[in-house]
Amino acid sequence: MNEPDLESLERDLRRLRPAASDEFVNRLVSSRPRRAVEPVATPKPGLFDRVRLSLDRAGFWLRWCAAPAVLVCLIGMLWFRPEPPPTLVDASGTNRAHQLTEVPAGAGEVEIEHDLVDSYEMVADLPSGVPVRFRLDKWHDTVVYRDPQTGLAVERRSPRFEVVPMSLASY
Amino acid sequence: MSMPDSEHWPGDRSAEQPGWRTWVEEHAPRFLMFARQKSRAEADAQDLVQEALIEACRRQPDGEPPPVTLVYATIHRRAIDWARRDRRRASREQTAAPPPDACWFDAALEDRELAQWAQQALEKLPDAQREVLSLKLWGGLTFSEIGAALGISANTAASRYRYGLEELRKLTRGVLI
Repeated sequence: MNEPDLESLERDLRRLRPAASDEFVNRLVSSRPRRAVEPVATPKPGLFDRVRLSLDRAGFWLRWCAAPAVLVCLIGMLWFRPEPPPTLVDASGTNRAHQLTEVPAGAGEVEIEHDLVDSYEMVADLPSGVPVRFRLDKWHDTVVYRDPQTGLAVERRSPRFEVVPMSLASY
Repeated sequence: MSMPDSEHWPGDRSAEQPGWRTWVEEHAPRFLMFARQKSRAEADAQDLVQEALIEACRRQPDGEPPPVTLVYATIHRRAIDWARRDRRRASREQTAAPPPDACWFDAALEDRELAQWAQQALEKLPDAQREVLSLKLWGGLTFSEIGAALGISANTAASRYRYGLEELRKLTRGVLI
Protein backbone atom coordinates (compact mmCIF):
# COMPACT_ATOMS: atom_id res chain seq x y z
CA MET A 1 0.00 0.00 0.00
CA ASN A 2 1.34 3.37 -0.96
CA GLU A 3 1.33 5.64 2.10
CA PRO A 4 1.81 8.89 0.20
CA ASP A 5 -1.27 8.05 -1.87
CA LEU A 6 -3.36 7.66 1.29
CA GLU A 7 -2.02 10.85 2.80
CA SER A 8 -2.75 12.74 -0.38
CA LEU A 9 -6.26 11.32 -0.53
CA GLU A 10 -6.83 12.17 3.12
CA ARG A 11 -5.62 15.72 2.51
CA ASP A 12 -7.93 16.11 -0.49
CA LEU A 13 -10.94 14.79 1.42
CA ARG A 14 -10.28 17.07 4.39
CA ARG A 15 -10.48 19.99 1.99
CA LEU A 16 -14.16 19.31 1.48
CA ARG A 17 -16.62 21.00 3.82
CA PRO A 18 -19.86 19.25 4.84
CA ALA A 19 -22.89 21.15 3.66
CA ALA A 20 -25.97 22.14 5.63
CA SER A 21 -28.67 24.44 4.36
CA ASP A 22 -29.41 27.72 6.12
CA GLU A 23 -32.94 26.50 6.65
CA PHE A 24 -31.67 23.48 8.56
CA VAL A 25 -29.27 25.58 10.63
CA ASN A 26 -32.08 27.99 11.55
CA ARG A 27 -34.24 25.04 12.47
CA LEU A 28 -31.60 23.76 14.86
CA VAL A 29 -31.00 27.22 16.32
CA SER A 30 -34.68 27.65 17.13
CA SER A 31 -35.10 24.14 18.49
CA ARG A 32 -32.79 24.60 21.45
CA PRO A 33 -34.70 23.37 24.47
CA ARG A 34 -35.10 25.72 27.35
CA ARG A 35 -34.01 24.50 30.70
CA ALA A 36 -37.24 23.57 32.36
CA VAL A 37 -37.46 24.38 36.02
CA GLU A 38 -39.99 22.06 37.46
CA PRO A 39 -41.46 23.02 40.79
CA VAL A 40 -40.59 20.54 43.46
CA ALA A 41 -43.66 19.43 45.33
CA THR A 42 -42.89 19.67 49.01
CA PRO A 43 -45.08 17.55 51.25
CA LYS A 44 -47.35 19.55 53.50
CA PRO A 45 -46.25 19.10 57.12
CA GLY A 46 -48.70 17.36 59.36
CA LEU A 47 -50.04 18.67 62.65
CA PHE A 48 -47.44 16.80 64.68
CA ASP A 49 -44.61 18.15 62.56
CA ARG A 50 -45.92 21.70 62.82
CA VAL A 51 -46.22 21.50 66.60
CA ARG A 52 -42.75 20.05 66.90
CA LEU A 53 -41.37 22.74 64.63
CA SER A 54 -43.04 25.46 66.67
CA LEU A 55 -41.63 24.05 69.90
CA ASP A 56 -38.19 23.86 68.39
CA ARG A 57 -38.37 27.46 67.32
CA ALA A 58 -39.74 28.57 70.69
CA GLY A 59 -37.03 26.65 72.49
CA PHE A 60 -34.39 28.27 70.37
CA TRP A 61 -35.62 31.77 71.15
CA LEU A 62 -36.20 30.98 74.82
CA ARG A 63 -32.62 29.81 75.20
CA TRP A 64 -31.32 33.03 73.75
CA CYS A 65 -33.82 35.21 75.58
CA ALA A 66 -33.18 33.79 79.04
CA ALA A 67 -29.93 35.58 79.73
CA PRO A 68 -31.17 38.99 78.48
CA ALA A 69 -34.34 38.48 80.52
CA VAL A 70 -32.29 38.01 83.68
CA LEU A 71 -30.38 41.18 82.92
CA VAL A 72 -33.62 43.07 82.33
CA CYS A 73 -34.92 41.84 85.68
CA LEU A 74 -31.81 43.02 87.46
CA ILE A 75 -32.01 46.43 85.82
CA GLY A 76 -35.69 46.60 86.70
CA MET A 77 -34.94 45.82 90.33
CA LEU A 78 -32.44 48.65 90.50
CA TRP A 79 -34.73 51.03 88.67
CA PHE A 80 -37.78 50.36 90.81
CA ARG A 81 -36.09 50.48 94.16
CA PRO A 82 -38.38 51.43 97.08
CA GLU A 83 -38.47 55.18 97.23
CA PRO A 84 -38.25 57.12 100.51
CA PRO A 85 -41.55 57.66 102.28
CA PRO A 86 -43.63 60.40 100.75
CA THR A 87 -43.60 63.74 102.43
CA LEU A 88 -46.85 64.69 104.02
CA VAL A 89 -48.33 68.06 103.25
CA ASP A 90 -51.13 69.44 105.36
CA ALA A 91 -53.84 71.80 104.35
CA SER A 92 -51.75 74.87 105.24
CA GLY A 93 -49.15 73.80 102.78
CA THR A 94 -46.39 73.44 105.32
CA ASN A 95 -44.18 70.46 105.01
CA ARG A 96 -44.65 68.09 107.91
CA ALA A 97 -42.03 65.63 106.89
CA HIS A 98 -39.53 67.32 109.11
CA GLN A 99 -41.84 66.92 112.09
CA LEU A 100 -42.42 63.34 111.35
CA THR A 101 -38.75 62.52 111.26
CA GLU A 102 -38.26 64.32 114.50
CA VAL A 103 -40.79 62.13 116.26
CA PRO A 104 -39.29 58.69 116.79
CA ALA A 105 -41.69 56.03 115.77
CA GLY A 106 -42.44 53.26 118.12
CA ALA A 107 -41.96 49.61 117.26
CA GLY A 108 -45.64 49.01 117.18
CA GLU A 109 -46.32 51.92 114.80
CA VAL A 110 -44.62 50.45 111.71
CA GLU A 111 -45.76 47.23 110.11
CA ILE A 112 -43.74 45.54 107.42
CA GLU A 113 -45.04 42.59 105.41
CA HIS A 114 -43.28 40.54 102.77
CA ASP A 115 -45.58 38.55 100.51
CA LEU A 116 -44.10 36.05 98.04
CA VAL A 117 -46.31 36.48 95.00
CA ASP A 118 -44.61 34.20 92.48
CA SER A 119 -41.49 32.20 91.87
CA TYR A 120 -39.92 31.05 88.62
CA GLU A 121 -37.01 28.86 87.78
CA MET A 122 -35.14 29.13 84.52
CA VAL A 123 -32.21 27.35 82.90
CA ALA A 124 -30.28 29.00 80.13
CA ASP A 125 -27.04 28.75 78.20
CA LEU A 126 -24.77 31.73 78.17
CA PRO A 127 -23.32 32.72 74.77
CA SER A 128 -20.13 30.98 75.92
CA GLY A 129 -22.09 27.77 76.26
CA VAL A 130 -22.02 27.58 80.05
CA PRO A 131 -25.40 26.53 81.44
CA VAL A 132 -26.83 28.65 84.26
CA ARG A 133 -29.84 28.23 86.51
CA PHE A 134 -31.73 30.96 88.31
CA ARG A 135 -34.71 31.27 90.58
CA LEU A 136 -36.69 34.48 90.30
CA ASP A 137 -38.84 35.37 93.31
CA LYS A 138 -41.44 38.09 93.04
CA TRP A 139 -42.26 39.79 96.34
CA HIS A 140 -44.73 42.43 97.43
CA ASP A 141 -43.41 44.47 100.32
CA THR A 142 -45.99 46.41 102.29
CA VAL A 143 -44.98 49.05 104.81
CA VAL A 144 -47.68 50.66 106.97
CA TYR A 145 -46.94 53.59 109.25
CA ARG A 146 -49.52 54.82 111.70
CA ASP A 147 -49.28 58.11 113.56
CA PRO A 148 -50.97 57.58 116.90
CA GLN A 149 -51.32 61.29 117.51
CA THR A 150 -53.15 62.24 114.38
CA GLY A 151 -54.46 58.82 113.48
CA LEU A 152 -52.88 59.17 110.04
CA ALA A 153 -51.87 55.92 108.34
CA VAL A 154 -49.49 55.79 105.42
CA GLU A 155 -49.26 52.56 103.47
CA ARG A 156 -46.79 51.83 100.68
CA ARG A 157 -46.66 48.74 98.54
CA SER A 158 -43.77 48.05 96.24
CA PRO A 159 -42.87 45.00 94.17
CA ARG A 160 -39.51 43.44 94.56
CA PHE A 161 -37.71 40.89 92.45
CA GLU A 162 -35.07 38.61 93.77
CA VAL A 163 -32.78 36.62 91.52
CA VAL A 164 -31.14 33.68 93.24
CA PRO A 165 -28.43 31.69 91.40
CA MET A 166 -28.94 27.98 91.86
CA SER A 167 -26.86 24.93 91.32
CA LEU A 168 -27.44 22.78 88.27
CA ALA A 169 -26.67 19.64 90.24
CA SER A 170 -30.24 19.21 91.42
CA TYR A 171 -31.75 20.01 88.04
CA MET B 1 -40.76 13.56 9.27
CA SER B 2 -40.85 16.71 11.30
CA MET B 3 -40.32 17.44 14.93
CA PRO B 4 -43.41 17.98 17.08
CA ASP B 5 -44.11 21.53 18.12
CA SER B 6 -43.91 20.53 21.76
CA GLU B 7 -40.15 20.30 21.39
CA HIS B 8 -40.01 24.07 20.94
CA TRP B 9 -40.54 26.51 23.74
CA PRO B 10 -42.67 29.46 22.73
CA GLY B 11 -41.26 32.77 23.77
CA ASP B 12 -37.86 31.35 24.59
CA ARG B 13 -35.26 33.80 23.37
CA SER B 14 -32.31 31.89 24.79
CA ALA B 15 -32.24 29.72 21.69
CA GLU B 16 -31.38 32.77 19.62
CA GLN B 17 -28.31 33.74 21.61
CA PRO B 18 -25.34 34.53 19.36
CA GLY B 19 -23.13 31.93 21.05
CA TRP B 20 -25.63 29.19 20.39
CA ARG B 21 -26.08 30.20 16.74
CA THR B 22 -22.33 30.28 16.19
CA TRP B 23 -21.99 26.86 17.78
CA VAL B 24 -24.77 25.44 15.60
CA GLU B 25 -23.39 27.00 12.44
CA GLU B 26 -20.02 25.45 13.15
CA HIS B 27 -21.15 21.96 14.07
CA ALA B 28 -24.47 21.40 12.29
CA PRO B 29 -22.86 20.48 8.93
CA ARG B 30 -20.61 17.96 10.68
CA PHE B 31 -23.48 16.42 12.60
CA LEU B 32 -25.52 16.25 9.44
CA MET B 33 -22.66 14.65 7.56
CA PHE B 34 -22.47 11.90 10.16
CA ALA B 35 -26.24 11.48 10.25
CA ARG B 36 -26.26 11.05 6.47
CA GLN B 37 -24.09 7.98 6.96
CA LYS B 38 -26.71 6.57 9.32
CA SER B 39 -29.78 7.33 7.21
CA ARG B 40 -29.73 7.59 3.48
CA ALA B 41 -32.59 10.09 3.20
CA GLU B 42 -31.67 13.72 3.73
CA ALA B 43 -34.88 14.57 5.62
CA ASP B 44 -34.35 11.68 8.02
CA ALA B 45 -30.77 12.74 8.58
CA GLN B 46 -31.90 16.25 9.49
CA ASP B 47 -34.55 14.94 11.86
CA LEU B 48 -31.98 12.64 13.40
CA VAL B 49 -29.62 15.53 14.08
CA GLN B 50 -32.38 17.68 15.53
CA GLU B 51 -33.65 15.00 17.89
CA ALA B 52 -30.15 14.08 19.02
CA LEU B 53 -29.22 17.71 19.59
CA ILE B 54 -32.32 18.37 21.68
CA GLU B 55 -31.68 15.26 23.73
CA ALA B 56 -28.02 16.15 24.26
CA CYS B 57 -28.93 19.72 25.26
CA ARG B 58 -31.37 18.46 27.85
CA ARG B 59 -28.63 16.44 29.45
CA GLN B 60 -26.61 19.59 30.06
CA PRO B 61 -27.44 20.93 33.52
CA ASP B 62 -25.72 24.27 32.93
CA GLY B 63 -27.51 25.05 29.67
CA GLU B 64 -24.25 25.22 27.73
CA PRO B 65 -23.95 23.57 24.29
CA PRO B 66 -23.36 19.86 24.72
CA PRO B 67 -20.01 18.19 23.97
CA VAL B 68 -19.81 17.25 20.31
CA THR B 69 -18.88 13.68 21.20
CA LEU B 70 -22.12 13.38 23.14
CA VAL B 71 -24.10 14.61 20.14
CA TYR B 72 -22.39 12.13 17.82
CA ALA B 73 -23.03 9.32 20.29
CA THR B 74 -26.68 10.34 20.56
CA ILE B 75 -27.04 10.42 16.77
CA HIS B 76 -25.52 6.94 16.61
CA ARG B 77 -27.83 5.57 19.30
CA ARG B 78 -30.92 7.23 17.90
CA ALA B 79 -30.21 5.86 14.45
CA ILE B 80 -30.06 2.35 15.89
CA ASP B 81 -33.31 2.97 17.76
CA TRP B 82 -35.00 4.20 14.63
CA ALA B 83 -33.88 1.16 12.67
CA ARG B 84 -35.14 -1.19 15.37
CA ARG B 85 -38.40 0.64 15.90
CA ASP B 86 -39.37 1.05 12.32
CA ARG B 87 -38.30 -1.81 10.10
CA ARG B 88 -40.15 -0.26 7.22
CA ARG B 89 -37.96 2.78 7.53
CA ALA B 90 -34.82 0.65 7.57
CA SER B 91 -35.97 -1.25 4.53
CA ARG B 92 -36.74 1.97 2.72
CA GLU B 93 -33.38 3.48 3.62
CA GLN B 94 -31.53 0.41 2.38
CA THR B 95 -33.24 0.42 -0.97
CA ALA B 96 -33.79 4.08 -1.61
CA ALA B 97 -31.16 5.97 -3.53
CA PRO B 98 -30.14 9.33 -2.13
CA PRO B 99 -32.03 12.20 -3.68
CA PRO B 100 -30.07 13.81 -6.49
CA ASP B 101 -30.21 17.28 -4.97
CA ALA B 102 -28.76 16.16 -1.61
CA CYS B 103 -25.18 17.27 -1.90
CA TRP B 104 -23.11 16.34 1.10
CA PHE B 105 -20.37 18.90 0.59
CA ASP B 106 -20.27 22.63 0.25
CA ALA B 107 -17.42 22.62 -2.24
CA ALA B 108 -15.87 25.46 -4.15
CA LEU B 109 -16.03 25.42 -7.92
CA GLU B 110 -12.65 23.73 -8.31
CA ASP B 111 -13.59 21.02 -5.80
CA ARG B 112 -17.03 20.16 -7.09
CA GLU B 113 -15.78 17.21 -9.11
CA LEU B 114 -13.90 15.96 -6.07
CA ALA B 115 -17.00 16.38 -3.89
CA GLN B 116 -19.18 14.49 -6.34
CA TRP B 117 -16.75 11.58 -6.58
CA ALA B 118 -16.19 11.49 -2.82
CA GLN B 119 -19.91 11.30 -2.15
CA GLN B 120 -20.40 8.50 -4.64
CA ALA B 121 -17.43 6.59 -3.28
CA LEU B 122 -18.53 6.98 0.32
CA GLU B 123 -21.94 5.56 -0.50
CA LYS B 124 -20.28 2.37 -1.70
CA LEU B 125 -18.33 1.81 1.51
CA PRO B 126 -19.57 -0.40 4.34
CA ASP B 127 -21.48 1.55 7.00
CA ALA B 128 -18.90 0.86 9.71
CA GLN B 129 -16.07 2.34 7.65
CA ARG B 130 -18.10 5.22 6.31
CA GLU B 131 -19.18 6.50 9.70
CA VAL B 132 -15.63 6.38 11.06
CA LEU B 133 -14.35 8.23 8.00
CA SER B 134 -17.03 10.84 8.46
CA LEU B 135 -16.21 11.42 12.12
CA LYS B 136 -12.46 11.52 11.53
CA LEU B 137 -12.26 13.56 8.34
CA TRP B 138 -15.11 16.03 8.82
CA GLY B 139 -16.10 15.65 12.45
CA GLY B 140 -12.57 16.36 13.67
CA LEU B 141 -12.71 13.70 16.38
CA THR B 142 -9.81 11.64 17.62
CA PHE B 143 -9.91 7.85 17.41
CA SER B 144 -10.54 7.75 21.12
CA GLU B 145 -13.53 10.08 20.78
CA ILE B 146 -14.81 8.13 17.79
CA GLY B 147 -14.60 4.96 19.84
CA ALA B 148 -16.55 6.59 22.66
CA ALA B 149 -19.23 7.86 20.29
CA LEU B 150 -19.69 4.56 18.46
CA GLY B 151 -19.12 2.22 21.38
CA ILE B 152 -15.99 0.63 19.93
CA SER B 153 -12.34 0.70 20.90
CA ALA B 154 -9.97 3.33 19.60
CA ASN B 155 -7.93 0.63 17.83
CA THR B 156 -11.03 -0.64 16.05
CA ALA B 157 -11.88 2.89 14.99
CA ALA B 158 -8.35 3.39 13.68
CA SER B 159 -8.35 0.17 11.70
CA ARG B 160 -11.79 0.89 10.23
CA TYR B 161 -10.55 4.32 9.22
CA ARG B 162 -7.50 2.89 7.50
CA TYR B 163 -9.46 0.17 5.66
CA GLY B 164 -12.06 2.73 4.65
CA LEU B 165 -9.43 5.10 3.35
CA GLU B 166 -7.85 2.31 1.34
CA GLU B 167 -11.20 1.31 -0.12
CA LEU B 168 -11.86 4.90 -0.96
CA ARG B 169 -8.52 5.18 -2.69
CA LYS B 170 -9.35 2.14 -4.81
CA LEU B 171 -12.72 3.57 -5.71
CA THR B 172 -11.42 6.98 -6.58
CA ARG B 173 -8.26 5.79 -8.35
CA GLY B 174 -7.69 7.76 -11.45
CA VAL B 175 -10.10 10.46 -10.45
CA LEU B 176 -8.43 12.29 -7.59
CA ILE B 177 -4.81 11.20 -7.92
